[in-house]
This record gives sequence, structure tokens and C-alpha cells, in this order.
Amino acid sequence: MSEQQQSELKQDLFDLARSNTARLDEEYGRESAALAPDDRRIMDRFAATVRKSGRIAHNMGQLDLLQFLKSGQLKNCYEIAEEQSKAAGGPGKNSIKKKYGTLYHRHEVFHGAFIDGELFLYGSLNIGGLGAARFGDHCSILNEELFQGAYQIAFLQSDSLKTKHYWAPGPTLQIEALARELAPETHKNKLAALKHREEIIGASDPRSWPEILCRENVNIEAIFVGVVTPGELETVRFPASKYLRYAVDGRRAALSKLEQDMAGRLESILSMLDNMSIKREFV
Amino acid sequence: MIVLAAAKLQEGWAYVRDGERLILLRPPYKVYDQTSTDEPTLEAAVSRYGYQPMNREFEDWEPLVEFLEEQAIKTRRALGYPPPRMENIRGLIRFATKEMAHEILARVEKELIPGHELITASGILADLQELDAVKSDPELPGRIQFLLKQTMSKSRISWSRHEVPEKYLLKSQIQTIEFINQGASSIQPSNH
Repeated sequence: MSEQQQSELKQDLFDLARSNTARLDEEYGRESAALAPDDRRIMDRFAATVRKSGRIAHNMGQLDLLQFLKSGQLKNCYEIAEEQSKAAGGPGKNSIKKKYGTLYHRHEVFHGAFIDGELFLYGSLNIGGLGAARFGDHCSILNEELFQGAYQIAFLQSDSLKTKHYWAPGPTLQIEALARELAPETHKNKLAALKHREEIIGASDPRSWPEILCRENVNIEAIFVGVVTPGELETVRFPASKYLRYAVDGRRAALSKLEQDMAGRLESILSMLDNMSIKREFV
Repeated sequence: MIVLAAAKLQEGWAYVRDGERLILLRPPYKVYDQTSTDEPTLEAAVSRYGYQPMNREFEDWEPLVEFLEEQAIKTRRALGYPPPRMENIRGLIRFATKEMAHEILARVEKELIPGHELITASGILADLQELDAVKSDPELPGRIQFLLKQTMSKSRISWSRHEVPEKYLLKSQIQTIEFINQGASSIQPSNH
């Protein structure tokens, strides 16, 4: 198959998300109607909270955040991998891929299935907390204006690489299954409420909702395309436990050499955020 | 035998295979810094978040942790970040929010003062009391004064008990004693 033919077969992820709104409306209406009035109110309240406060969170490691603030632009996965491979004195991206191809396979199938797939940036839908910290415990929250700007955004009910029913052997991406679980920005709340309805109805305290929506191993994936600069940051959240450890134990010579380095870098990051008037939180 | 599957070297974060288990390991590498994870998460870490595949065997956890710490420092230097200065680490206190200030004071009260780490305690208290977030809080200034008093009282006992001649004290220790003595005359009685 020629490159042009392959390109013509690619789908527009963001169009697929927009095409799913009627189905989400219908499912939300049906599920909501089946609930007892009190439970329905809880589900509607959760959806309203996500509608109002839902943001894209991008988790990263300390130096990725520092590099982002310094360079002025969020890098995609290809750029990060190349840069770090060079810094570590290791082989280039292509030779690593050759050796460890299976680790990249599904990601490349996923990117290859969609128009502009290689430009995709990833995050999570977030209404509070440290987000999907499995990839980094510095949680950058992108501001609401991003939704009104030139960005293309789609929300996927579960992690695109992790969710079994999105994949068939090969690996082959099951686009129809995936498309049923996509939402555009306008319907992120309904997607979230449908996914978590049992948990939110079971949880008596709305303060647990941020953790239900987005935690270390559970998230609604946000896939987006656009240029992200520090100007698009609404706030950056840090683990309070680490801040406390560095601020107190850093003065007691009770940190390892690596942690001392991290403590010093944290100070640099916090200073930069203050200079850029970007809000910071310890959670 | 454990296998380092992939790592974010600059952060010291690593995916490690221990038999059938796949573990995400993070600094400071205590037991609670180990989280069970799965293959798709490892795939995402490598293909989307810049983790480097490694496939390197280690006899035990200790040499693995040593390797990760060493590589993290090496990679940080290669990326152009020099060792931090102590003043950077000390400067972290100035970013304390009210909530964090309360937490820091709890540690000063429960760990540093009972542990006779009085120089560290008084340094932290002195820095905290300069913060706007602290000054505007109804409770924090009084709590700091109370803890400074405790620190001074323990310091006097400590110095008089040991009667260490001044020539054996570090400059910073002398400054702390001076600071404490000055503080004694300026501190107002608190409600505690």
C-alpha cells in the first residue's frame, strides 16, 4: 500500500469524538432515568462539576517540567525520547526501537491510525489532585481557554494502550470500539459520569470525586494537538509530602544525593512559576 | 535476580521485573515507593513518556538503587544542571503555603525539638516567620513564637549542660545562639 493510500485510510480522532455526542446524550439520559431521584441528583451534580472544573492535566517528571518551563514549549513523546537518549549517552531513538520494538508497537499503530497522530499530546481529565502520577508526580493543569482555542481535543474513556477491548491481536486497533468511548470537550462530563456512576453514587463525600476521576492508575485520557507553552498553565500541583521532606529534611542533611538535587531543582521550579505568575499547589 | 525493564534516568524512576511482578520504583526507594503495575503502563511509559528501555539484570535491590541514583545524577549533569547549592534547598521554605507551614511546624515540634536538632529548628522557624502567608494567618505567628521559646529553653539547657567552649562551636552555631538570645528579648508572650 502506498504512503498516500495509507494516509487516506487514516481517521480523524477529533471528528470521531464529535460524532459520538448523540450516543453519549442518549446513554446519559437512559442511565440517569433509571436511577432513583437522589442518585440521579448525585450523578447530575458530578457531571456539572466535571463540566465546570474539568481540565486537562499533564503529568511529568521534575526535569521534564523544568525543561518545559525553560524551553517554553511542551514536547511530544518523540522529542522527549530523543533528547533524553542523547543526554544519557545511549543509542539514538531508532536503534532503541529496533531492539525493543514490542514496547513501541501499539503506540505506533495508534498514532498511525489517525490523522496527525504523530503530533498527539496526552493528558488526563482532572478536577483536582495529583492526577495520573504513574508517569510523573508533577501535575500541570492546562487552563480553560485551551478548550476555546485552536486546540483539537478528544477524551477517551480509558487509557488507549491499556484498555483491552480497544485492541485485537496483531496488534490491531479496534477503532469502532474506541469511537464509542470518545467525547469532545462539550461531552467530557457525560463521559466521566457514565464511566464512574457507580463509584460516585456509592461515595458519600464529593471530596472523593477528584480521586475517583483521576488517580495513579485510573484516568480518562485526553488526547490533544496544539502548541502548549507555560502561558497555558493554570496551576502546577506538587506532592505535599515531597515538598515537606525536601524543605525540612534538606536542612538536616537527611536526604540522599539525588534527593538533594531534587530539592534544589524544586526550588528552581517554584521560583520560575512565581516569576511567570503561575499558581502552584501542594496536594 | 531482578531486571530493570525501563527507566526515566534523570528522575530515578524505574520499571522493574521481580519474578512475575512488574513494579514501578521511585525515589527515595522505600518499600512504599514500590507500586505494582502492568505491561501496558510500561509500554506507555516507554513509547509516550520518554522512559528508556534497559533490560538490565541486578543481583538485588541495593545495587539497582545505587545504579539508579548514580545514573540520575549523571543524566542531570549531562542535561546541564549543576549540583544545587544549600541556599537553594534552604530557600524552599519561602514557598510554604499556610497549610504547609502548619505541617512544617508539626515536624519541628514533634521531631526536631525533641530530637535536640535546635539549630535546624530555629533556622526553619526564623525563615517561616518572615513569610507573608504566615504573617497573615491568625494562628501561625503565635505558634512559631511558642516553638521558638521551646527551642531557646532547650538550647540554654543544652549549652549549659555541655558547657562547650566557644572555640569548639561552628560559626553557624554561634550565630544561632546569638539569634536565640536576641529572640528572647523580642518575643512577646503568646497564648500557648
